[in-house]
Amino acid sequence: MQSEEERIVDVLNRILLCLIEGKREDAAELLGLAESEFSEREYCHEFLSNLREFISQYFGGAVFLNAIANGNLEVNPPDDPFRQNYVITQYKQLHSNLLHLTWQTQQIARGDLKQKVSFLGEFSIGFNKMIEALREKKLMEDKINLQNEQLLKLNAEKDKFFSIIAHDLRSPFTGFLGLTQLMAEDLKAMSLDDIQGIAVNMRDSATNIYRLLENLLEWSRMEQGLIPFHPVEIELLGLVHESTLMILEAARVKGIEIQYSIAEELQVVTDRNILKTILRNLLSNAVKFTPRGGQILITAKAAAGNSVEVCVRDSGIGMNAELAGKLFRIDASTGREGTEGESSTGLGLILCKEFVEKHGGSIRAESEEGKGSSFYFTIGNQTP
Amino acid sequence: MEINPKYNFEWKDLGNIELGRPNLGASTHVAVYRLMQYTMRDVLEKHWGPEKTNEFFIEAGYKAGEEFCKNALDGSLDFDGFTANLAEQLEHYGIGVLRVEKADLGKMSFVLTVSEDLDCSGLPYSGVAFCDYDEGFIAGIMHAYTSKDFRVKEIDCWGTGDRTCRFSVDVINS
Ligand SMILES: [Zn+2]
Repeated sequence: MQSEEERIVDVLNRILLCLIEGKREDAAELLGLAESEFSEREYCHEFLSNLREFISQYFGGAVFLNAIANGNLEVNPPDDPFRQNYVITQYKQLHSNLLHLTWQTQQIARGDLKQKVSFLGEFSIGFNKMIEALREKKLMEDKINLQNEQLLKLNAEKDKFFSIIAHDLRSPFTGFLGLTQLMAEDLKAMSLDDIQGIAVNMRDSATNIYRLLENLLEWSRMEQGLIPFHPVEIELLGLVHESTLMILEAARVKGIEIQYSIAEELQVVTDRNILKTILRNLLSNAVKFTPRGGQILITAKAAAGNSVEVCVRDSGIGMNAELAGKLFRIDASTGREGTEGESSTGLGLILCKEFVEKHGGSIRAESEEGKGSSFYFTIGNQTP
Repeated sequence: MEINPKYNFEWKDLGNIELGRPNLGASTHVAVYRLMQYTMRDVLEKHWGPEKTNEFFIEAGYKAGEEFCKNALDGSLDFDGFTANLAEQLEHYGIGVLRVEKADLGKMSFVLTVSEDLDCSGLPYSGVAFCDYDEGFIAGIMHAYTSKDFRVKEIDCWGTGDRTCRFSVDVINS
């Protein structure tokens, strides 16, 4: 009970005592009345009616208190709206605390480890230590899961590496060896035209092998964190032009037209070699998967921050959604032959993705079977 | 009587307090807040009667709750995050200490308590729950967060002799 209520009970007791001892005047004074205004009868009636109410409140409250004592928190306090029940006020507070604590434990059980208990001093300290321990354990688990993921990725990378060496590197070499064999054995019987034909084939095989080796090397250097990043201001149009030179011959052979529409003043701050590698791979894919007489269009525009978005679009064979969904994944096999049997391992796109993402950009593909593909990437959203 | 309201409260109407009160700061005495609230109640009750006045307070609280949710809370959080955020902000603004007693997300039914409530903690027993404004405030917050209407009722209050304000919060199924 509150001190105010204790004081009232004390006054009532003293009045009763005065009455028993026959001190009417004192009793009246305690009530702030003159003796003539004081009626014993009236007072006793009021006293008894208050006592009755107190007893009824006590029994009403006892049901509630018993339930709490037995651990039943589902119980509701006696429904006595707008009538203060002195007996249970404090216990309602306890009930409320226990309900909140129950809710907090349920939350913690559901994984909400941000809860902090503030109830019963020592209890809170112990309880919060327990939550802290759970939180640390969860952090540790998250860390282990992350390491597991990294291990899986490493393993997938290793598999990819070996599969490239076993299949993709082997086949152009086989062709190359066959051609050298032919020359070693029959050179004398060959016309100059025959020799030139073989030389062109050998050059194509060697180019393929060289590009693949270049990608493999860059990829492994990137995995080891050995690729330097020297961002400089680059005029995009010039660099795109430079990059197309590398595929010009292959495109000419297939009669593919290359166009670009890029504002002359568009600049980007990034590493020259990295941007070139990305463009080289996207362009060489576009040539591989575009049939004779097709077109390749390169566009670029300023994007969020200081970055630019570059798009390489081709009128090629496109791809279905299943293949498009696997494009940038190291653990999925996406290699397929170009329209003229050009070899492709899918490694180039993985390299592009790693390069782009390592430098704060993103890459995506839009494609429809038979209707060509568009590859979009952003780069340069970094301060030099 | 024709009514042409000229004013429509928005959060920005609170002004730039930092700029306006470089020395006194953002805080004031709780007594001042209650002085405003209870003199306003006094006048409104004299003009419109107690029932209408309760409605006014609930409606004003509702508007405040909506604006508070939009401007001081992160409505993109899930329920756990949102209640934590709400409790944090209610404490930050000195409105009260919020605690959840029961939460049934499926039925959208909650029991919340607010201790050390700005409106009523420490008020003498009068047999009446005071926190109409808080009822509206909670309903407004819940509406801004869930886009649903809620029935909020204060079950316990300092005014009814309890030591913490308890609210039942239930969705209104239309
Ligand atoms: Zn209240």
